[in-house]
Amino acid sequence: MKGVVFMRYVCLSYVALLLVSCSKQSGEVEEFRFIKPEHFPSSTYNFELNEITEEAFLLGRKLFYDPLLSIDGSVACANCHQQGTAFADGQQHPFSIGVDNEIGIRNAPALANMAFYKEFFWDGGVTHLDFVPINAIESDIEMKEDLNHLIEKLNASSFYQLEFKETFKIDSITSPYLFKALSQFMLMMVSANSPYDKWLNNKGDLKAIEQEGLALFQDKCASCHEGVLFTNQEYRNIGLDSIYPDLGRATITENPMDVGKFRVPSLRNVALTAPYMHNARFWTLKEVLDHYDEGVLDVPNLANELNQGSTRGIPLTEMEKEAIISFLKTLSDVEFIQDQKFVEYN
Amino acid sequence: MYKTMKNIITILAVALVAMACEKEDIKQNQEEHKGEILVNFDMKAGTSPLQLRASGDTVNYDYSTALNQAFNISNFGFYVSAFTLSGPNGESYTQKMEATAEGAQGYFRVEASDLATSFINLENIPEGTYDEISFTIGVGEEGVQSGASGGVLDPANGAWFWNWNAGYIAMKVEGSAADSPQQFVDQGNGSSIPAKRIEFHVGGWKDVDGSMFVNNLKTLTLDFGSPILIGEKYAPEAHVVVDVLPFFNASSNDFTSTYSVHSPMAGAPFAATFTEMFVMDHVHQ
Repeated sequence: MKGVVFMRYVCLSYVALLLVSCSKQSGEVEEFRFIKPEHFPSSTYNFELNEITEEAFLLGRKLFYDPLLSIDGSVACANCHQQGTAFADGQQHPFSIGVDNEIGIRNAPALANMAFYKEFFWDGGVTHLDFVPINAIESDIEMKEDLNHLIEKLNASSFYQLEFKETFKIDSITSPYLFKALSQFMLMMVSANSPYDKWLNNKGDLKAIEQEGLALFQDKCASCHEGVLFTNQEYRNIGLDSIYPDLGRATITENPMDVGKFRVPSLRNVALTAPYMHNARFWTLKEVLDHYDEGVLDVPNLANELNQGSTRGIPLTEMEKEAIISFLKTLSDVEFIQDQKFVEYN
Repeated sequence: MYKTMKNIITILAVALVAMACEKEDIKQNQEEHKGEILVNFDMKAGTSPLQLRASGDTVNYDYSTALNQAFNISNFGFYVSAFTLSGPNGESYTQKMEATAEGAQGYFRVEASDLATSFINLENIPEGTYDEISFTIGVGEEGVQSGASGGVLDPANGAWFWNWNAGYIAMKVEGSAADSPQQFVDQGNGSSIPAKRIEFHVGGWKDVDGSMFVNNLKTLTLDFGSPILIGEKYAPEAHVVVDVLPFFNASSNDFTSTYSVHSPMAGAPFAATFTEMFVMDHVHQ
């Protein structure tokens, strides 16, 4: 009997404690952390080696928008990855413009859901998000800067000295901390609130034509543009070209069977990220679908998905294309491109 | 609430540790004594100490290959990691590996141009008899996939990092060869490629079934010859000779066609020579 009373006391005090802690929480500022959307797969990033903090995220944001990262102070990450176009390049720049107005060779990809990918870039040559900025910083046609020189510049800045010291408790800035901060900014770029997501989570509707487009998409496109990330994270040759100034995936795998293969891009925010393809071949989604319908070239490494028996490409009627495009537009995440936490000055 | 929970957890933890201690006592008494071993990589060409020349030197050719092609070396080095020791009575030691922003524990870059880098001291080794040492030439998946790391893996501080095909170069051999067809190239920004340059960067760490990825990491196991003692009273020094000549001879390299190697596949014939390059010479007990 005594035991029961004691237990009741314990339970009551536990409930009371819970209430106290709950009421306390509601008054606090929400903890700054990475939140995996429930309908997303597990993230691939090893957060235990780069624990998300608001300070490091804000430092990453500062760095993302700072042209100090380029050799002559003219090009920031944000030059070619603009929030308004879901962190793809501006549409007037099919290829990115680097220092000295050098023109790149590939279309800058949109940045979103970076915590969920296992490989990066059109050829998948980079296997960890931390290493992604190095290519842009060191590229002669992008930021053209030496890493050691960049670290010298950061250490010479009293602003960055203090920021890194407060964020990472370090007296001298080294490159891994620079990359961890940039990763934090990119890791928080989660795009999962498009009309499609809301429909998926029973929080919104899709119009009849959008649903029709979704059904067509699942039937004809989703074997590569798979799942909620809209990519199977593989590499395909989609018959754009028969000669390859850019070997694509074969540059990394050294496998002739991979010549002309490029990353299957995510289609999230795709309506915002024209032009399309690694070489910015198409200006509209209609042109992209026209390519799959009737433009696919008969090349040796052509994707199996586009080479079914006597049919090459994906035959589509004009009405089907219209429906698919209506669906693709439901992947535009306005909350993401307007999210104040990614804005330069905030 | 938080504090209460913390107290409870602390009490539980202490209790658990106390219980565990009883069991561990006997074991710990045996392992109490720890020792060290100094591994010294002697950089050589054949039997002589390696001679380094200035980059672009096309006058002094110190060596020649089995194909009688003259060459010199301006830069030679490698990453070494994942040291382990094992003994005939079940003794074993595995060095801790941890690549973080703060540093790269268990990863070393040995460079002929910097003698200090050729001495690697392994510590906290359980006392006992050991007859084998093993280590990996290169930085494996665990190191690469830890992301941006400090110390010898910091690319802004001299790390040998491939940005385009992310990973670390396992071994670099650079110099000049009389038969290298490399022409002088002005790269702008004051940097250039000297004429007759040879540049061999061996890297590649990916193992993917059904792919053509080349993994050039090599784990080498060397016998001490006779068992050695490591413990409080014994701090032996093992001399591993690293001979650069097999790099070209065991691969039958012909400088007229192969003088610039910068990809995993092209590096594979050279990675295959690592087993001949690293030889346990002697141990000072």
